[in-house]
Amino acid sequence: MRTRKTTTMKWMAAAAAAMLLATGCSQNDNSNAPAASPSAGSAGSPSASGSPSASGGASQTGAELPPVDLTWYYGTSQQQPGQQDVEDAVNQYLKEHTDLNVTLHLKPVDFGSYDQKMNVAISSGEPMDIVWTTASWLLKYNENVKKGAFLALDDLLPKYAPQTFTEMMPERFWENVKADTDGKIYAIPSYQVAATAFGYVFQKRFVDKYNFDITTVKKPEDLEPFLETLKKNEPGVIPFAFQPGNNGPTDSDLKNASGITYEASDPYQSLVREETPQYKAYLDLMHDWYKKGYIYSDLATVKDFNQLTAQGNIAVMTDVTFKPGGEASYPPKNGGNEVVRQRITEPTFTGVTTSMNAISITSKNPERALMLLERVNTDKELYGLLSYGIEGKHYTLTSDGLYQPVDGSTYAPSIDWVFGNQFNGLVRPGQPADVFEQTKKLNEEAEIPVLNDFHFDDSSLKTEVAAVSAVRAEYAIPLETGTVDPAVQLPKFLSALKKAGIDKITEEQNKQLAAWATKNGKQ
Amino acid sequence: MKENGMFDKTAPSRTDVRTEKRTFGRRRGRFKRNAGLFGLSLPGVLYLLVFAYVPMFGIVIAFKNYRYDKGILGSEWIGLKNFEFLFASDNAWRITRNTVLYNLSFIVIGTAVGLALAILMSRLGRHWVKVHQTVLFLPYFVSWVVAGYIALAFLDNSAGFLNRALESVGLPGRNWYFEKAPWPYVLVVAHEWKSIGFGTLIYFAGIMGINQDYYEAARIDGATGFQMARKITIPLLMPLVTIMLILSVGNMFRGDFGLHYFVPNDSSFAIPTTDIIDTYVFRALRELGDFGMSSAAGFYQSTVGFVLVLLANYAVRKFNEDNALF
Amino acid sequence: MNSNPTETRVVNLIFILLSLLMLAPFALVVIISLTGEADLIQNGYRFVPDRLVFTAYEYIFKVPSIIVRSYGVTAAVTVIGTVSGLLVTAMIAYAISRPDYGYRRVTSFYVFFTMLFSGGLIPYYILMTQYLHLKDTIWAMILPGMLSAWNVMVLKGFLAKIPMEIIESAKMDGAGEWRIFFTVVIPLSTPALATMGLLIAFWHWNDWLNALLFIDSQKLVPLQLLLVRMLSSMEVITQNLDKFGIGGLDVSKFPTMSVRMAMVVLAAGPMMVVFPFFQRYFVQGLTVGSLKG
Repeated sequence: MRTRKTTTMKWMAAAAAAMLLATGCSQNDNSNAPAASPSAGSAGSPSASGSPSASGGASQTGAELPPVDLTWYYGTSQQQPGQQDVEDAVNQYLKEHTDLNVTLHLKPVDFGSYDQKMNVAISSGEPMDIVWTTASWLLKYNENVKKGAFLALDDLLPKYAPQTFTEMMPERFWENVKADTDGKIYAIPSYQVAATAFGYVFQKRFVDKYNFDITTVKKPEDLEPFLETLKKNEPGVIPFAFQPGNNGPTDSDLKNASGITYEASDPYQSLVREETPQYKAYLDLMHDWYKKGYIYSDLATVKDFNQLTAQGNIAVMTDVTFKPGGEASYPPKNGGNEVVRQRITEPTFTGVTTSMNAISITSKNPERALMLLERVNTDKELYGLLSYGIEGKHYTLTSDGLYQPVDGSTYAPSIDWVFGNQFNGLVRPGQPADVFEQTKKLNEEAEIPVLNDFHFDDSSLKTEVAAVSAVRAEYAIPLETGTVDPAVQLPKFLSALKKAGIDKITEEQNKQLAAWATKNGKQ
Repeated sequence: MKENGMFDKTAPSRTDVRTEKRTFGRRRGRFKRNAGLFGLSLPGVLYLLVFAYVPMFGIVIAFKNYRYDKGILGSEWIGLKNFEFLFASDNAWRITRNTVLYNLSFIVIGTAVGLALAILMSRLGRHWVKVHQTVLFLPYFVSWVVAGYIALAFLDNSAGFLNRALESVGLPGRNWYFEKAPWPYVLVVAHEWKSIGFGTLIYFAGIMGINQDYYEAARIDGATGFQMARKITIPLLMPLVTIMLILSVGNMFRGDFGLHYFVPNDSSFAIPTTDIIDTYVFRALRELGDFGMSSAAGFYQSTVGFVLVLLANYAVRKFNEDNALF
Repeated sequence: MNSNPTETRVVNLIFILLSLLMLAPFALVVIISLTGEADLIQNGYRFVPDRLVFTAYEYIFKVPSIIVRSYGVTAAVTVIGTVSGLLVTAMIAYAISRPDYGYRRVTSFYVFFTMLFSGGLIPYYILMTQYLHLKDTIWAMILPGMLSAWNVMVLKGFLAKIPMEIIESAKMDGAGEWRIFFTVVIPLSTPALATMGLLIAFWHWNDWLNALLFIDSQKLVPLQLLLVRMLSSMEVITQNLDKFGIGGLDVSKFPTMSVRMAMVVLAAGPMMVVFPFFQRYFVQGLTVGSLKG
């Protein structure tokens, strides 16, 4: 056996050597990547940078930029058969109307696989230039900043994307883009709706029939008489249902901003939402409604809420964003029924980070990538090409200048908010003509939460954050849909949260909050 | 076992190997003797070196706070910190228990049903074998996401076939997705539904390799089909069964994410009885998306599997050396 | 194997019942793919819809080039992957199945170890893209599935049944190991090789992860990735509609449930044609019996 054992050892040693070799190689490779960072880039000499879009494509006086290829990875709703046509048209446009000297390679990845594909590619150090990222949805911004995926743009923005930086949106909104870990800016937001309110959506036919005054609804409890009427008189109609998770706020005094739950009266004290009396009261109300049959009985296990709404027999739903002109989006997914809406919270600034474009740390031409993004955010024609395709071929404009995709259009991804400033886009039929003005007004007038500029850095608490996520995934939905009795399940939920380490998170939040408040002279 | 006896005669005696001195010349002689077979194995060996062993250095990610800008080696070493979330709450016991129990039942039921069906199938005419094998394999092509839709069609509270059937015979329907008790049965059925064609095919191929003479002789002695299965088929399939078992043992701490996530429709109520290590890792890391922590979970699963396989292989070796895996 | 007719009939009956049970869920998929969307919304899933419509298939074939090309990619990957994979798998499995092979145990362990431990996706991705430069090539889908430890171990189990006497006698005739492998071992093991070939082919046919990771070009998208995109995107989109900018997204334009099910049928269908091809080689008792004479 000796011989065999030593042979085995030999094999292992050989394998280990091979691994070391490989590691060595990849180490070199990885350390090379950051070296190709902005300072080393030759392309963007200040003289040539200027602001190419400011003069609307007029030729520059400075030296000509060397040609570069840029890749842009972003999420899309569906792969478009006409993708190549659009890419060609975009490059044609860039060549003829700009001095960027950029060949753009568009890399749309469907939303369903975006996270998986991009996480692996980015963490493997794949060379790429522009990367689409979001705050809380796909390819999470702060998680990726934490892991060093993106390039800090603070110094580059004023130089290479000046208009985007100063004119696209109110300057204070940039606070929101700053990363949790170090307060630097790592992405350019696609400016769009930045304030949300919470409210209810009512099917107009029932509101009219029972003559219900929706303006009387100021808090969830006020829905009760209407739900009762519906339950009594409309068999086959679901009085109340919502996408599980989209409950809305449990109480108007309980705020949530920058990942912190707090009482409006004391913003510097982080609370565990599940431990508040407001949460308990809300769950009791939901459970009461559930028992009375107001809430759809299977709601807790509904995954595809649109399939449920498609039947058009849900009388009241929730709307967690309350976008201006949002009524128009309901009939197509709601069995054709018209709706009216009533909000119960004031619009609050919730941030511009829903959809952003960052520059990868592996980009060899970050300056040019920024110049391109500047152009996309300021040049309506280029933005239109990316968002809607070629006019006449992929879409037409109605007589009022509204966007109308042609029948069987080969390019209609409906993702204008991915590429850049949506206010440079087209209004769709059904939306109020002044929807952009309304939205801008909403954004600028919305209340900015006290904690808006606070950023919680949880990188030292990964274990607890992971365990708490798993606990919430198990307990929250049955309780928040009213399906289970909070008297029984809430204590279990709380005890599981404690075991998962929620107190450690709260403690750290309070520590950072106190430090932040002191530093900013808030307390 | 005739076949094994045959091997024993031709196998090099163990003393030959043991007395081989570790001298260069002897070793070269040994290599020469084995050069032909080594050559045959070389493409596979090289393939695994490149595609499996070289990337294996990535296991270190499990012990690091992996940052993309610092690279795999440059990232900070944090010891076992990435493993903590697996044991952070009282979920640790639950997910371990569920993972192991599901695997045990899949192994036992899968082997028994696979063997039984393969034996029965070998008694059918060729034409029918083709038809049934094809049908049994159809579910293999249905992804778990789709299987989840199908499960919903059967088990949905209001519209599901099962509840409608129960109601039509006067029994009350149940909201299956709001309970935890039925799911172990549903998952076992779903797992068998999808994998039984696979198991049957493997064992059927094993039966195809059995010498017909054995059956002829048994038939002359007046043996029944059942006796032949028990005395000939099953013993001769044992080496294959053993391999399949050892391979399954290696995956004892690993589960099929799709089965445990999509088939119960990610229902919160089913989590206590369906949550396994793989689904827990997914739910815990959905927010963080941390590769260090997911690598840690994988490494933990591999290590336990590895220990179990070594034990199983050792036990099999004691019992019958030829059936051992290595 | 001849047995008495009643027994055969009973066994056949068992299998017919079992097959019907296995078939029922799949039949449901086919039927949903042929049910109109309005019918589905109103009545849910049913085995007997009001009427059968082909709109889902018409929708998929509206731009036929996409699906036809995907069939081509999947077929090419499956054929090349299966032939090359089977060859390499059989060669190494045969070597370690030979009891007289000196490196038998160490090689078995070497192979088996890879079934348990892997470096995870990141080093694999780095290897594939930065060292082998396989990104956006068809090889990124063919090479990864060529050899799996599981397949080698199972095939080793089958090949171990070949009697050493046959190999010894071939050696006496002066044949080298390679010649023995190709002229004696392969013909003797057709049922086992056909089984393994089938498993490798199915693996390639079903694989989408490698395509998801490595393929950007729309021209190289295999069938299963088309399906996965359709399935996973719907879920992600419907749960995040509130994030879709000012105008939102009109979900009513998206692939309906019947379209998704039609994709499932289109993706699984061709394999049912491939099955009989392999089944030709499932011949009873060929291995040993034919050599005794």
